[in-house]
Amino acid sequence: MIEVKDLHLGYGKKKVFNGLNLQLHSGHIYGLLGKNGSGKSTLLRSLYGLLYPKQGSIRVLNYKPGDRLPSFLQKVFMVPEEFYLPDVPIDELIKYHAAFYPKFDLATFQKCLKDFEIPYEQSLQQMSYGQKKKVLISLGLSTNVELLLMDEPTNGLDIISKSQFRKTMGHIMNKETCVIISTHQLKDLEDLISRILIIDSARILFDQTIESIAKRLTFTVVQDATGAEALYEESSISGTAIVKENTSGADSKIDMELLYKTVMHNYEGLKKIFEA
Amino acid sequence: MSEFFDTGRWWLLVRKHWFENRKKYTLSIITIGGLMGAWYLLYMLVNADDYFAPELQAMTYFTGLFIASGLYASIIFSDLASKAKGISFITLPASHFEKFMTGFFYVVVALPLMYTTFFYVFNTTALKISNSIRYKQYLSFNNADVSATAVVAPNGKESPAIVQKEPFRTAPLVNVWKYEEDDRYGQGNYKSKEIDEPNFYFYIWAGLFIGQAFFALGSVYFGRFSFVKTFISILLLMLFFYFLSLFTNAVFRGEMFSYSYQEDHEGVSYHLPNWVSAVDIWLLEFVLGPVFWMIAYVRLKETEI
Repeated sequence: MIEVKDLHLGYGKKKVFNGLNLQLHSGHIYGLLGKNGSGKSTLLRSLYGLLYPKQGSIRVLNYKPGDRLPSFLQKVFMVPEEFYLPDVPIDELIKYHAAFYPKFDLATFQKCLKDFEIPYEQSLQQMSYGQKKKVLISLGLSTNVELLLMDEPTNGLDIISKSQFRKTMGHIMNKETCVIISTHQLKDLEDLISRILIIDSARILFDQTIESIAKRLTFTVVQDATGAEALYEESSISGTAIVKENTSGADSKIDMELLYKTVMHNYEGLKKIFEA
Repeated sequence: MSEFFDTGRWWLLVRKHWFENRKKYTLSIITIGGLMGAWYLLYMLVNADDYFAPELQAMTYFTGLFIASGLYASIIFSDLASKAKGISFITLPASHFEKFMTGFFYVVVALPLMYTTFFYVFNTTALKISNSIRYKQYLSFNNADVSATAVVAPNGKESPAIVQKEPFRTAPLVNVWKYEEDDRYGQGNYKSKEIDEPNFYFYIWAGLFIGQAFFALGSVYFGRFSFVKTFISILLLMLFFYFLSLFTNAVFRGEMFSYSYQEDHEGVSYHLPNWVSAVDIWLLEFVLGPVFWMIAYVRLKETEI
């Protein structure tokens, strides 16, 4: 579905990607993680054709995104971190914006709005940032596109809405769709992401499915971590959280934050386990 | 469905633009109405006995249209300067050409059409009011004039009062597409008459089209404050050509933008063939505007966010 080959991209003299290779498939919700400035948003914008590669190629749904053809744009939707919605009533937004997406489903849109507790009759002008974001997410989910890109989608959402977001995403997801969510709010996306991509120093450092991670790693909290052979450990009030190789085959709940820190602090150790 | 231009999709874009910007348009019309009203009121107060000559109406019309067009064209693609608005604009499932044509349609067709309609409604009303006030003044003046006292000449000699009973002149409504010389001082029936010259207004319309294209190009290039930046660019370009002309004048002892050259010492004059000036005028009239619009389109396609 998405194939990035030898991507070189940058802003002026600053290089963001220097030969990035990537393959993503439909039916997954990808969690795109990385430090500030690591290129997460740049990657999302490149996949949508908002940025042109200096070198290398990007193919998305068999299109070259930079061509920005209407038939391509109809199949992709993005919830950017900084977004714009016109100050019009919701029904006009549907009439004049959603109309550009041939697979838009009004019933799904109305259900999403209901779940997010946004009154359909309300005008976007009267809405807060968080409410507008919920409308945009609802719009994105109801367009039934094949690629949904989300840049920090839970920023600005209240606690209830974040939980609602996870539920809604879970219901909407189907095998034809590929969702890429770039975020720093790892807790918001637990139980939602099916594959994790960690981007660092202009390359994909880590790319694994949840099943593969659960099979190879365990995340536990122990009182004494001495001799635990942990890949990464972190002390807290309740004890020491450790990440270590799963040698017993027992399932443990993946702690996204700990996984991310493990990748950033002990990449080589982790690499050995996943390459074994 | 065509990837380049689809009428249905383009029409949807046109409607979308209207519904998202109608408040802006309404406010602009109210502002223009206020300014025009203030200008006519001022004119009536200062020149109470004068009438709204077609030239004055035309000047008001074209000044307003140039300013409105410049301001509007300078924001037509300025969404691209904002990250949030730019993403929304570029990613909307329509082709670059359809998005460009929507901007072109509103700047070149819709805005002048709306402005012209508004101008004629407003101007007709203003003319009626002005004509009615002036007619009352005319009646009172002519009544008073019958009992006018004798005029005393500078040499002290008295001469009888001269009563001039001129027919009342109703100010005609201007035709902004066709230049007509106003016959207000003639002996005729005071109606405007067509003059036997190329249509002067055509050049103004051509100039407007070039201006619209230049400001639209500025909106793609500059984004924020594009009106001011484009205006400064025009001034700088004019300065550049002025100095270039001075330079060529000094170096080649001739004027760069002149089609003839007089050699003072030998009394010989050189003339470029007439077709050169004809081609230049044709280029200015019909090519410059489309070229600016085309550059704006290419820039629109290349924009990255």
